[in-house]
Amino acid sequence: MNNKNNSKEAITKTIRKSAPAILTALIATALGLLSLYISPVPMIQDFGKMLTIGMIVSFIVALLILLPVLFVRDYFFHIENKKKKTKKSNKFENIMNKITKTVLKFKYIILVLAIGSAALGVYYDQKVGVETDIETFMPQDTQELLDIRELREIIGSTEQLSIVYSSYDIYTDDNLDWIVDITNNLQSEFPDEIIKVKSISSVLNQLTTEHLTPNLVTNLTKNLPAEQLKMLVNEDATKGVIIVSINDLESDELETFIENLKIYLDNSITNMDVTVTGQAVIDVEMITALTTGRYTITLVGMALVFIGLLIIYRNPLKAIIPLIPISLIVGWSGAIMYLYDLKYTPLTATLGAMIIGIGTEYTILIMERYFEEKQKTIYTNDAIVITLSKMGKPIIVSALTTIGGFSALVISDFEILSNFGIMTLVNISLALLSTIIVMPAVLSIQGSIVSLFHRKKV
Amino acid sequence: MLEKIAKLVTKYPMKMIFVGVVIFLVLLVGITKVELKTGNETLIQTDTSEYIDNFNYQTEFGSDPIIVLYKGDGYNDLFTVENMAYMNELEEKLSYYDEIFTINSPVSLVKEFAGKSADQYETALLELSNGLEDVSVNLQTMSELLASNANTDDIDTTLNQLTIAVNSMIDGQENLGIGVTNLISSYATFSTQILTVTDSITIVINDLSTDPSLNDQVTMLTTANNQLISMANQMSTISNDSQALPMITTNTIAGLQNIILGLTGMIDNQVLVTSQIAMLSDNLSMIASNLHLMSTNLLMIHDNFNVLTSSIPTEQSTLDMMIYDETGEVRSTFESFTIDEEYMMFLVILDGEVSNEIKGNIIDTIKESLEEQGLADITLVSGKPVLDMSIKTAMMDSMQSMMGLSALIMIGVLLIVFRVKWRLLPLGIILVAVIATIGIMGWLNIGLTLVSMAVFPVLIGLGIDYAIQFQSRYTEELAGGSNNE
Repeated sequence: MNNKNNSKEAITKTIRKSAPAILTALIATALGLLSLYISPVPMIQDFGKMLTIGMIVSFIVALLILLPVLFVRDYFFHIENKKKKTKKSNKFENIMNKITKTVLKFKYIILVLAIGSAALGVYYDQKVGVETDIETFMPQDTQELLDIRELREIIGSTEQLSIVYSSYDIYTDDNLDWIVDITNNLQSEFPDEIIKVKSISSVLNQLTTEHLTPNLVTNLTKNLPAEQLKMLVNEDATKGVIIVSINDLESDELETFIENLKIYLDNSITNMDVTVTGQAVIDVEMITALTTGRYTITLVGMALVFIGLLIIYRNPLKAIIPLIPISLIVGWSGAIMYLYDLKYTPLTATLGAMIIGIGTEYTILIMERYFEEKQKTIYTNDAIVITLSKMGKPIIVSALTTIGGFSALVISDFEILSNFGIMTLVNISLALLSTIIVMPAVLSIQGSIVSLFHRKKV
Repeated sequence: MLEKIAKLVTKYPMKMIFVGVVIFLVLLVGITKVELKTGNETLIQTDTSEYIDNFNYQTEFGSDPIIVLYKGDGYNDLFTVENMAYMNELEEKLSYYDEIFTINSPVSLVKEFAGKSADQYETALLELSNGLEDVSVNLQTMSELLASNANTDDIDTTLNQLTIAVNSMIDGQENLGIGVTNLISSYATFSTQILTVTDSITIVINDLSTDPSLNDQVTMLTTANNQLISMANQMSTISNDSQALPMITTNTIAGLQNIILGLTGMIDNQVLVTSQIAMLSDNLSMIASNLHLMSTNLLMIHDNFNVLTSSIPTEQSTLDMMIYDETGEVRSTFESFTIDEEYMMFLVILDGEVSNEIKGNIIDTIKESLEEQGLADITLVSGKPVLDMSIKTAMMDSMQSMMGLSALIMIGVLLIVFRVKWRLLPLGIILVAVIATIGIMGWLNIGLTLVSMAVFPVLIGLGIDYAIQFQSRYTEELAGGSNNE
């Protein structure tokens, strides 16, 4: 039966022709996402890991489940071909045809404009701020958020740092003097940041005004409630803590304060081991790691994709072409963030790597098809126009579905998520734009360079 | 390679789908193994000094506090017996959580005080008992002495000594009376509680005894239960016996005071009638035996003292004695739990790295308890752990609805832009892939974090591409192929 042969042939052709291109796109995407793995934040590493696994699984499922399902459908159940569809897609192909021809006419201008604006974007991207206050990420009318603000209003602070000191015996004369000294002087040293300092000495000073000596401390602590004492000194009296209540600071202010506090403690004279710790230190550490590493992650992502493509194609030109239109997006996206006064959050900081992963997929599909078409025609521009008119639709569909998935994020009442959603939408639209407008120009110029080479060689 | 796959697909499509379903089911099992990770290990790497410092610190001193704030109008309105009882109830409910490092509140201070005075009380009881016994013996001797030496000249000195002894006894009796009243009620409650337990045990024993194979266990249980019952009865007896104790002390005090009066009169008059002395002797002897009885009772109370836990005062005056110092100021240790005489704090400090589930349970327990006590309106439960928890749960909820929403949007997008047969197939395929991915994460032990929750919409958006590409190319090839144009 003709239908059966048709489906068989279609499956074989589909696998032979599009599997390599899609696989290459997958590898590029996975490599881009893999750059998230160099992030010092385990949460982001897991994000990268999970996305990579998810993409690979999606590919395998599409290849080994979707195609058999389609094949079974058409092979065993006869279905008539619709003719309507082709007409419509012809219309669309005509539009793509025209766009691409126009682009090719102005390819140099387009390329210069694109690169120029991207460079400008990278410049302004440096000025984009970073939002690190976790409380701004969540829905602002959350009851718990209102509660903690009220609490902060009442007791002055909910944030605290802990200065841990340890020694074989913390109740020696020298050590006690140090504890008293730090407890009493810290607040006057950092009046803007510190609200209250609590330690074993501040508690004991409520009981006595005398100078604290080891004997006195040992006697007095016997009368302190064990539950209270436990928070300040451990049972063996080898470790103690000075609890520092601080104002609600932004991450960068907090970071500076912690640095200064460490310096101040380093300069104090004691033989004890002193460390500054607490949840606030962890939070600061994470947020700086998240936001400062974003250029490195993006660059590593580009490098990985390039190397991956180089290995696949064994051709530096083919490895660099898909990257050109996409790397421009990093600049444009920065410019948009600057123009709309958006701030980077821990999530948007990973966008660079993500858009390289996502965007190269489009450009790779175009390039692959272009080289496929190039086999059939000697004219570079013809090949480009055919490629764009054939591939334009699947790529737009693909971009639209991606946008469809991400747009759910935009609606989230979590600002960090909606912000991330908006920026991914912007970036994917830019990727689509760059693929349709910049990619043909790049391919065409590449074509002329290659043919120039050949002519010289011959 | 590609040819092989193509052959596989065209030759054994049904088998491939079947194998796919089997693998999918295996991965599905993995979903149950997926862990939700939200601890510090998801924020910074575990080998950094910041992580290690914080970890050590939290193991030693616990993590950030959950703060319960009680609102009130001045100290008088805050440090009330009722509030202490509420706080105590809350503290007892929380005591079941091993994950709580410590609870710091005015009531724990009160208990600490009560515990200390209970210690002192215990010692005092023993001393009192011994002292009473001594006095009793002395009185007895004196009584005998009086009876035999009714005519001695140095009766003055004896009488004087007697007066002093009796006076100090009166003091002792008064002290005793106050303490004993508190003790008795605790005993009675405790006894009733034990009896309730033994009742239930008896029911269990009856159930069990029908099964002959459990004979040994039943016997053991019965013995243990009998011991409990006898202990409870004993305590109940003590309590009942002691009911009279405050009365006895009052009576004794009155009696002693009469004797003093009598003695003083006697000294003044210097007129001693032998019969009067004999009567006095009898009286003294009676008091002596009374005192001996009391001493024995007190000793019994002392022996059972350790079964009593220190409880919080039920009288405002007793509580005030603990809260305020001699000058009427709030003691500084209590003051540190208040803010502007308007709020009182109850702090719950958790151990480091407590799982979200437990953290949520603890917070719920606190809120439910406040609700039951009718304090929800005048209290505030907050602190970093509470905020963190709410962020986490809200994010999870948000993610779930977002995943559903992105699937819905995707249906719309596919219906509009993807005009081929079975256009929704790619969505089904990608949902299978997403679920399989979660399963793989479970098998590979990669935890779900807050950020990876954002993966699902992203994955749906990105992964669907592959399915669309394959399907659209296939449709294109089926329609005549690209070569024909």
